[in-house]
Amino acid sequence: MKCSFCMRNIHDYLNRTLPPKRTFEMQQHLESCIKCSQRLREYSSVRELLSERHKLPSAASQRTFRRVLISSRWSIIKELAFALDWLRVYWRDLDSRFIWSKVYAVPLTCLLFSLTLMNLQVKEGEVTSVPEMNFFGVNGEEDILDHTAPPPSFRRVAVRQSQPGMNRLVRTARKTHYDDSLFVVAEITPEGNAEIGDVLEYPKNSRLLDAMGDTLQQSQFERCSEMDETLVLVSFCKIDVWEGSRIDPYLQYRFPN
Amino acid sequence: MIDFTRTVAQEDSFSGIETDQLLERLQQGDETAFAEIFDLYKDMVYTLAHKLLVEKTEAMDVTQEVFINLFRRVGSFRGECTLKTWIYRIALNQAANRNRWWKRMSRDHALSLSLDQFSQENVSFDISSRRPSPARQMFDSEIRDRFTKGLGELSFDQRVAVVLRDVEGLSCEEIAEITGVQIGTVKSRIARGREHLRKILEEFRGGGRL
Repeated sequence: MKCSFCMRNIHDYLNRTLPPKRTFEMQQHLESCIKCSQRLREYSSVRELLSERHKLPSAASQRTFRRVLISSRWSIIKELAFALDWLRVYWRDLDSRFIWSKVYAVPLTCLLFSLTLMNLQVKEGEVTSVPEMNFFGVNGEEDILDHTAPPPSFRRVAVRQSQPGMNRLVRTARKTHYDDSLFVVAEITPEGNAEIGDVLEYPKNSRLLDAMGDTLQQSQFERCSEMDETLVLVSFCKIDVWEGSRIDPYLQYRFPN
Repeated sequence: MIDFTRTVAQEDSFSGIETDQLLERLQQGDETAFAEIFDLYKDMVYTLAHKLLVEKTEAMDVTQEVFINLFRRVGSFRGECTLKTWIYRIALNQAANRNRWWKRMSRDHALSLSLDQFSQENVSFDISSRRPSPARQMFDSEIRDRFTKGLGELSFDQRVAVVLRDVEGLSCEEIAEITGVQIGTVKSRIARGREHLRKILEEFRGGGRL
């Protein structure tokens, strides 16, 4: 046997994967060849240094045992913590995993984004989701509650939830910050008293905030002269609390009683 | 002639049947079985983690993680492989996760706060006649440190293959089964790993120190 063959197969010899005949030949060669037996001794040193075994220190052993025992007992909090930890580790190592794992992040992000959008839409819909609401009249510019103006001619029009004027008004009321005015939703009785149902935007100024209560009590929501039956009106009003309780009605709706 | 046919790994003191019984008891929630399995395999897992991560504190953490995982998943263990093989797999996964984490955090460029490198346990200058001379002890300590560093220089896959073969005494087939690669790949990793470690020892010898 040549030294080159011996060197080529020395790891198979060490791994005990050589056929018996070859193993015997190798042993014979190793006994006779100084160079190859020296190489084998070096691998022996490697193995000797590697084979040093470690013992878990007793204090660490007890601590580990206790922790593992506690964690092995079932608890919903631990399960939750474990799941969260798994997610944390997965997310932490996402970039070091194979490239396709990043693809999972895309639909996940889209899902979260669309859920957020849906959530926003639902919140907006809460104001407008009035069942079977009849349109009473729209007046964005002219004041239908003005007694000097001729009585408006009402007509019944079905109002869908996605009525554009309504949505636009609510969006405006929610997004715009007014320093000197506020939007309210008021129910108006036939006597002309208004019950404030919802205040969409409060004034930022604290003095105005204090004055708001008095202003609303003194405010007179006027009704149309044709309203002889008990009607409930919902009005979106921009009330100027700074300059004498001027009321600008934007929209009015009537609910069937 | 050096006998390479011996296995370095400790043989299980439990037979296969007893291990099966332990598993069965553990799956039924018996905590004494849990203690027995822990006692039986803790040093094996710790040694494996220590060799693979080359850090004492990391090895302790991984040991804990391995047993937590083991007892969490024991209900789903169907016995497709032996318990020992299964533990090896969990340990390797945990060590690989930890290794990946440290790789990302560039451990090599970070200052380790571990006291391992400063501990003097390997350099105890005992002048009693039964022990090696202080010079020899110092040399042993030095070569062991260099060797440990050399082990850390191997790629993680090579380290796994070398440790499982030369420390745990597993066959190439078993290593291939545990790591999920071809036997040829396992053999090649073992050969490269051993060669690197042998060269480190040769450097010492070249410097007239071995």
